[in-house]
Amino acid sequence: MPFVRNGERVIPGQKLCVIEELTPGKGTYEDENGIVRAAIPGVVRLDLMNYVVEVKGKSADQELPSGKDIVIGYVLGMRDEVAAIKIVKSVHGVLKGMVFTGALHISQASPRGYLNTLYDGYRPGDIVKLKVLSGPPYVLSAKGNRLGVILAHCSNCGAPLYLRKDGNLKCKRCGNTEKRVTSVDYVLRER
Amino acid sequence: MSGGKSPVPLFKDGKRHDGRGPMDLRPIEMKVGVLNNANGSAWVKFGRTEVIAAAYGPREPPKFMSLPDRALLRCRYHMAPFSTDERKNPAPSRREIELSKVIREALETVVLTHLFPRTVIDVFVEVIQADGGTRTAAITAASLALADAGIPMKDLVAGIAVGKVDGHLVLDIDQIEDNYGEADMPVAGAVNLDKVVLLQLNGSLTPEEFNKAMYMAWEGIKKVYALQKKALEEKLRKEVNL
Repeated sequence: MPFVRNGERVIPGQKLCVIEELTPGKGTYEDENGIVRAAIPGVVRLDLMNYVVEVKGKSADQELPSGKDIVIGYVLGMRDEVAAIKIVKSVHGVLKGMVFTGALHISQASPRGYLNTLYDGYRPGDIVKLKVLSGPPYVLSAKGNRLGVILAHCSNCGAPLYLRKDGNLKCKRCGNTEKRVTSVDYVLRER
Repeated sequence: MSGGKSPVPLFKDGKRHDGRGPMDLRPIEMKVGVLNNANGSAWVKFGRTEVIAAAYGPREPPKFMSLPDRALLRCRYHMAPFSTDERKNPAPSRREIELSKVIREALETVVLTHLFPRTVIDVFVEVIQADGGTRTAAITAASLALADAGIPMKDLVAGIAVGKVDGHLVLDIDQIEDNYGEADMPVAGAVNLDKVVLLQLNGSLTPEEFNKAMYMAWEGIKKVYALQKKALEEKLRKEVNL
């Protein structure tokens, strides 16, 4: 019999069950004596179908971006082959106090086609939607649906660029035309 | 333990200078989630000692600091300039640097840092008002802030100090007892794991006194832990999405 009931509130260190009864799931750990304990404050969920005990609650590892998560960030700096992306938002919401840097390599920078240099598809300051491959340190990819630049600014005057039907971006202020690896979710479109 | 003679009798007729018995704690209050901008935070009050702790992370460390197999835990214990009766220079003193280190080492034993390689977890502890027992209040608040931030931990850490005044062992000493007492022994422990994670001793105790002091400290730690549990459960009750 587990030491706790389903739905009971627990705090870190509290005994949940012994390892022979249930497998430790999220928000739990097994101590050196084979006792499964809570690692975070939360509510106990006993999954008696799969023999798993977990603690549901605010957990730092749930908020961290992990593999295959879609994240939003901006291009902090770049060279011809690699760009540093500051990740500010993950699927779980805005990363409060947890800003991470990720790397986008040219081989992962475009969902289709080939880029001679990263500058053909990205520029510093662009807001991008990318997929996490691994990390931390995060390795990012633009290969996938709806990934790429979601907002860019004009290299000449700094005004926001509008996406034209031909796929290029146009500045309404100075008339400059630029190219980016744009996402389907690009926010400004020319009508 | 500054020495000299106390302006008030420290132990008379089985009572301490503030009317407490040897095993009595000061009134303790705790609140979790007091700061908006931190991932986790806590406010702890032991009598007139008041401490706020904030936990941030796991977040990106400076590159040269990152550890390949676990998170780096950083801790900063700081006393506000207005926390003492005479203004304290806000620059970190040797004492604050030492306390930051001992608090960090105590917390390192319970935080599951291996879950977050190449990241950093920051804990900031600010003493708002100091009246003895600030390091134990700080460690109590810091562990609550970490739990509030959702950082996986083996157990909560609770701390309390035992002192020796006028030849008597007393629990949860305040500033006067610390200044004019014969010994001060802060202890912090993880109650569920039955482990001591911090033990310091300033002054001298006989082996028998030490054993008794440890017993007293553990009794105090259990009471502080019960209050920590209550504070966290109160926060849990308020959270909507559970």
